[in-house]
Amino acid sequence: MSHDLTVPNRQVHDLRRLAAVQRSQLLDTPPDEPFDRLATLARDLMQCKVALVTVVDSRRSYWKARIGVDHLPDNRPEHLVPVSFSQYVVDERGPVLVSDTRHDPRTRDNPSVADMHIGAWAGYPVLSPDGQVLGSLSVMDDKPREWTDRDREVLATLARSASTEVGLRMAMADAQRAAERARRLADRSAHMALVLQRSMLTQPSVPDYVDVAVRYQPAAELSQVGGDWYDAFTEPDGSTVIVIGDVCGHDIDAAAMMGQLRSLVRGSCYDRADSPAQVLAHVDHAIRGLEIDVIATALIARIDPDTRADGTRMLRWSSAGHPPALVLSADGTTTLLDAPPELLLGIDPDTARSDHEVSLAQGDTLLLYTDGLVERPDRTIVEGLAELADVLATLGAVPLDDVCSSVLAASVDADARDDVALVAVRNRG
Amino acid sequence: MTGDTSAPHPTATDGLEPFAGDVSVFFDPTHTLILLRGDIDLAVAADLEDAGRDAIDAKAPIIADVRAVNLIDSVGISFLVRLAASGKEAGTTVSLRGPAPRVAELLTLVGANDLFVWEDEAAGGVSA
Repeated sequence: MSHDLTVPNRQVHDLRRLAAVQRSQLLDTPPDEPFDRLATLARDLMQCKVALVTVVDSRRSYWKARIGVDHLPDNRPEHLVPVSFSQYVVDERGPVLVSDTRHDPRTRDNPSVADMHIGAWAGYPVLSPDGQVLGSLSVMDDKPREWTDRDREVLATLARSASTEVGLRMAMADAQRAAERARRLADRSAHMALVLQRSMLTQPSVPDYVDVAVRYQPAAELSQVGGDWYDAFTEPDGSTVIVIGDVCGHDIDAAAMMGQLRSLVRGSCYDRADSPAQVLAHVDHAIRGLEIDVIATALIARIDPDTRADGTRMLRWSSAGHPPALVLSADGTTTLLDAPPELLLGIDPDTARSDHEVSLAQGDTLLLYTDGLVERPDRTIVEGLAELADVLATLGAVPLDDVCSSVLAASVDADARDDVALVAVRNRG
Repeated sequence: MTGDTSAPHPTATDGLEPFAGDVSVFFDPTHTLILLRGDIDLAVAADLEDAGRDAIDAKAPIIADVRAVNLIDSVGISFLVRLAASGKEAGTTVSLRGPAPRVAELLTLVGANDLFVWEDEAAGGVSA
């Protein structure tokens, strides 16, 4: 056994107590005003020279607050446990009052009695929230004195205040750690949403009579990753299907729901003779019947593989509450595809849906996008659409990929609140 | 976030400038008022869900006061649309207290305008 057997201070080494000392994070910390104030109050009210608030680990008694000890030659703010007085409080798990240290059997052999000129000593336990004795609040007099009832009452009160202060700090540190953990989890969840989204927004494959370019731009704040999606694929009959959609919500649920809805739309479209409006109706019924908890806007467009007599291709589309698509001609003319809005998906499967037709001449570009492109706090959507049309009008003869880049650059701020999906399709003729 | 029943109905413009976003519900024997203020987005999604459920459960006509809405995104719009659809299913009327051009524009865009009755503020509405 290595410890000093003359002092029965085995409580000092109690593991639960030591764990509480660790958790308190009070060891080797700079002076703190609340503890200094309590020590100062103790000194003044007791009319002593010295007052301490200590925290005792297995080896030493650290002086968290120290009043009246500046004259001591060794200015390390701690005592080794065997020469400390706080060890008695830890050992007793209660107050220790010594009226005459030179004669009290507990303290008479403690070298600090002479070194620190301790005549009388009184210490009350400072407790952790779970009741472990962390150390003591103590006062010392240079002469023997009798500790009165009032002295005891005052010291007990001040020690309780110190315990409360410790509890507050630990609760605050716990709260900060919890907040930090929550932040990390939220970051990770947002990152997962983005990965999920990216994994589904693959490069589309389309027939060679059209060119396609796509973009997905997440919101400035990662946590705002949403449920925007695009899709473009070739039907067995050679027609081109283009889909754009936006699941309401901005989190990993929305991103996951987007994946489900995207598959549902693909499956409902592929190799069926249904028109875009019929596909949307079918998807809406599936959402209800399969009890999928989702609300989303979507626009489906289908381009005929065969050119008509005038050389154009027919584009048929239907929209479930999605912002209107635009057609841009090579000469810079823009056309807004703005039929009367029809209800978004996930509300009423029996809502009426209609198809609309428009001709795509050679070089015409169809632009589908999500609301992040035209929605900004400082303007209405109608204004946003007009601005988008103005930007597009300058891009008629520009390569398709540059059309997407230019539209994004002109319409989306660096600190955009919303994510944006964009798909542009050009009829090669 | 759920207000008590005895308090007089606040008007949307009472008190402070719009803050992050707030959802309050006020129950009255004749109707239930859902007061939306500030930014109605993901940050208040849980509050919206509670408010919608409580309002439908109250079985009284619902008024959603959207005059003090600053920003509203797809979370807020889908809340209103869901509320209207649930109201219809439960046989409860759902009206909007405006004016709120931004909310109206978005509801129109998503094809949901027909689901709502806009209560004319000047006419005094249900609570007059």
